[in-house]
Amino acid sequence: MRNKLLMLGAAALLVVSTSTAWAQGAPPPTPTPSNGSLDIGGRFTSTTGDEARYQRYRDLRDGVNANLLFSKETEKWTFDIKAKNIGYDDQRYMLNFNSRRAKFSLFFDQTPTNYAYYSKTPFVCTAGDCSLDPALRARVEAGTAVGVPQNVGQLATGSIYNTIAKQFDMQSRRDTFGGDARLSATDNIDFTLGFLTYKRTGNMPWGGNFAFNNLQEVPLVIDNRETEVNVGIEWASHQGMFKANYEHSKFDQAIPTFRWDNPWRATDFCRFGNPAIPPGTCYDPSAYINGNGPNDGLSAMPPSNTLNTFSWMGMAKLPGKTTANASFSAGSNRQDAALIGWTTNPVIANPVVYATFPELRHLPRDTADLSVNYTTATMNISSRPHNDITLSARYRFNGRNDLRRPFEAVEYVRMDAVPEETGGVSEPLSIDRHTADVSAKFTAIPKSAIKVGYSEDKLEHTIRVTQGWKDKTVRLSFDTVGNQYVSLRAMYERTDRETIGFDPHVLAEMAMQPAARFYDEAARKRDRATFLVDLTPTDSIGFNLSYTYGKDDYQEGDPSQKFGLLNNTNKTYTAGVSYAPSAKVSLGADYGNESFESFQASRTANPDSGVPGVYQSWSDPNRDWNLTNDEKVNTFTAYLNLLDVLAKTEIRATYDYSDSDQGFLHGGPRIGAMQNNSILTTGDARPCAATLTSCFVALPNVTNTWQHFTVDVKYKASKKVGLGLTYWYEKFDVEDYATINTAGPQTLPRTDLGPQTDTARIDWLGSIGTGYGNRPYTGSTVFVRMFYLF
Amino acid sequence: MDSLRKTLALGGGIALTLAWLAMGSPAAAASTEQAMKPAPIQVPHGEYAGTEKCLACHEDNGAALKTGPHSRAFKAGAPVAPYGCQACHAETKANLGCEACHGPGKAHVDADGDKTKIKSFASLKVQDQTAVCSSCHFRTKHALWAGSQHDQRNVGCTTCHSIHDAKGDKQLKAVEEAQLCAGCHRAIVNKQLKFNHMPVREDKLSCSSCHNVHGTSNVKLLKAGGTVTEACVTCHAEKRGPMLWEHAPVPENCANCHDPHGSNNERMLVAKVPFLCQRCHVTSRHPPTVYEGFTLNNSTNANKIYGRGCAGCHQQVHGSNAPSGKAFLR
Repeated sequence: MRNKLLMLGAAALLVVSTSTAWAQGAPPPTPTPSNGSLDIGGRFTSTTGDEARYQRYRDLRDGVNANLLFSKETEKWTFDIKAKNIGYDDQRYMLNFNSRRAKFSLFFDQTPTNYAYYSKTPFVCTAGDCSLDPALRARVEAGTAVGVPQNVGQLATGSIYNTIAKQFDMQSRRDTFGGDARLSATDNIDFTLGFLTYKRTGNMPWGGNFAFNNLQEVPLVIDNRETEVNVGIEWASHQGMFKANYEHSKFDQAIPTFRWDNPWRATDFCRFGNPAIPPGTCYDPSAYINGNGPNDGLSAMPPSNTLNTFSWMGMAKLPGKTTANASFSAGSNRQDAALIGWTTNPVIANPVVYATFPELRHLPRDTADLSVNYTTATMNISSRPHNDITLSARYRFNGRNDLRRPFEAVEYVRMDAVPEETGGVSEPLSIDRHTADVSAKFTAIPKSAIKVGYSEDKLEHTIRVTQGWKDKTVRLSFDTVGNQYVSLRAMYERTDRETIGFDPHVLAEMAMQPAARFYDEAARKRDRATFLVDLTPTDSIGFNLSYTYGKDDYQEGDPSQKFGLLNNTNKTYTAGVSYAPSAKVSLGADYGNESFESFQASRTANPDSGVPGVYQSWSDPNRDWNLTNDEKVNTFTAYLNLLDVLAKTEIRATYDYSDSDQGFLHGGPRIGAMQNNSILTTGDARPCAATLTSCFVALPNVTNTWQHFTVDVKYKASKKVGLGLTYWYEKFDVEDYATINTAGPQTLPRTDLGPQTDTARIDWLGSIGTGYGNRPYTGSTVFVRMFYLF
Repeated sequence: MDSLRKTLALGGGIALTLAWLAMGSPAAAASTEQAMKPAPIQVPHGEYAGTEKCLACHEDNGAALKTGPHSRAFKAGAPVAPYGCQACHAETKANLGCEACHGPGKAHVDADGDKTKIKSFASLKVQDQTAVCSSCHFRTKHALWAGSQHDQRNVGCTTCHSIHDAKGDKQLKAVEEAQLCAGCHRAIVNKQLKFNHMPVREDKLSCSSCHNVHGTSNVKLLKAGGTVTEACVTCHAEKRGPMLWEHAPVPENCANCHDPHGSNNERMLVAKVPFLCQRCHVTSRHPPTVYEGFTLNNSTNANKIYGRGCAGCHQQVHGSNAPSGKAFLR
């Protein structure tokens, strides 16, 4: 239908669409007509490699490409509509009407997310269900075929499921329709009304597992929708304004559960009589590693829920160049989805097991019955008591009040395979956050402002290792703007975070190392600085330089922390130049260099057995290891505009470049032991099998390079008609050990599996996947277009 | 959470007080009204030169009167309203001439264009420029400007907008919003060039999809909600739950794990899995295992390194609604 409608116009057309780096999906503005323009033409795309990645959020298929703009303006009202990429998966339509008493807008947008077109799966997936061939599963269970490769030998043979795997497009799409209206009852009072709904459909990569070595990646079918409506009233005058608003949001999950087959078994399983557990019960510790367990799994998907929010906001201009504003919102988020059972495995869900795990007979309740109240309050006052001094004070409160009844799940079933007593209780996660900030700005220096500020930010939460944290921040900034020759911005900020109510016993209950901390709540010292300068020595030339620095040091904040994220540092330099010798010619370039480095530490260990005199890896510092993860990124952008240098012709060209080089450097005594297969502490075992001299291989760097080049030529044939030609070229190179090809990891292949290729492999050690990964591509697209102004 | 009720009570009181003040309380009305009356109101008609006289010298700047939002400012509430021109001359754009923003110009004209006798934005302090604009633009999106992050850093309306030389929508000085923001936030905008990014460079989103640069009640000038997470779940409602089993860092801040501006890691994670997860999970058995190249090629533990890493099994990392979902496996 799309092409049928638009092909009529295509015959007459030649041209385009263009784009700068910042609107690759959109043609640049065409000459503004008095009341409309139509762009229509043909588009032709060629791709080698990962076509879906090239079209990640856009639809560049061959065909007619049409865009429409129309606007109408009178003394009383204005009206405009826009339509882009008509008929394609990334189409967008907008409509606006504006008059003295009424203003409204509507829009419809589609945004695709294209994951991979090369992906393969042996699963047949429909809504909430991914099935495997039962005959093959039976063969795997009988041991006559390999289901999920477990060793190198099985890798060579490959999974039996390769024989039925089919290629499919892994992609989803978000369709959004929304609108809002503002009706003015009087010059001071407006009523507002808005709605928005988006629907997500398609599929996406998703994990399903039954054991440590039995993992599947499946194309999960997505079908959900969010809808929101809001109504409000606003009063405004020159003294201030006040607005009250109500919003209702509803998320509907059309697929509340997801069931998938076990590629290792066709029958449910549970081993009885294990000597380590009470007689007659069902418990199979090996189910963690060998795929024993159910013939299928069942998972709960993100549940349907509602959110109702009342909010109000006020602002008043007070005497003495003082402005005060405040806002408040209170919301209630509720979810009451039906709960799935403890397990889908009938061999566990039966009276024999219930005798040992009585709590598994029933769920504590049948529905989630969860509710959270949100509150946000802000109060700001800004005053200018002197022409050169501005004082500001701000306060913000955020509250998340979790009203749930605790859900007890001490006895539960892990991976539908193992009933256990190691669960816990789901308790309310509530958060209170208070932020207060005061600052003074001095503007005595012409065109400049010096600001000093201090803030305290206190967060308190439940069910965490700490009761919260408190940040104390001082900041100093200097800004010069409006000067003809130079703009300068500089800022330094220091934040000291201290924890509130750190409880090592909670850490112990979570089976965490006592010297470990969670970086989002740990004490730390943070330094941030930014510097930016723009120089414009002449009207035609501009230079810019910037530098940013940030460092989080957790050990400085808490010297007792030994494990977890210990520090991270980032630095960015950018430099740019622009030159516009005339209105017809402009060009410029920017370069950026970003570096990031983090350091984290851990300890490979088993739980402390508590047996005196026995070696305990839990407390052995020779089991410590660390990781330095660094990344260096270069970016470069350039543009050239030649407008009417050639008669009636506009030429625009852009080039964008980005690369990344990310390293993973392991260190520490445990790494040394693995490299030499040595025992560092008496009582410990060798880290590798006895036949090996080493069992450590450094991970290769993960690198990528992305380039995008665009040239757009427009020729104005007449006042009404123009022709255009646009060319896009995009190239993405990536090397990532986490992407699996025929000979294994992309940058760390197993040579015994043959030469490496670019072809995705779906079976690797411990899993059946879809082959989805980071893969290179080269794409080019040509737009030939005619634009007609009316 | 008693503080919540206290804050609500306090906040409600302050909001009502503000509204009362703004609506003109008997006590404050006189002084407030006096303070807030735009200067031109005090100026007799004779002090104005009229737009035609302005354009006689400044013809190039006349476009703002013919096209763009300022040419169709239909509502009262313009710089000289409701006390000024539109109080009497409503329904017509003509009244919103040059002097609506630049002030009475007769003295400027009479002095042969003496720049000191007209309100020239180039010579005003940023706050004074902004005061002119905010005499009209103080409603919903602009109501929280005073004291906002940009206000405090000497950013004014004319830092980003141009009435006479706009390049993009909303009178922006650049064709694309991201280009404009890059003027100060180059390092952030450059992240869009990373291969895992929001669809900004595809023109599906823009900086203002998430941020209201004019001031908000949220952190980081986020438009929606009161926290980073509340802002994110306006589009990712499937993650807002509440969940039977919460992963605590998720409700606290999505940015604990994701960089919404772009990343070279899958799903815009701030670090590659499994190492991101190992920044916190220093327990026993498999979470603190060393995941490296030998394991990747020789062990079934490889499935924790490639592909989705930890999230292959712990797929419900944003929270699980399954009774057996404590470890986010179901």
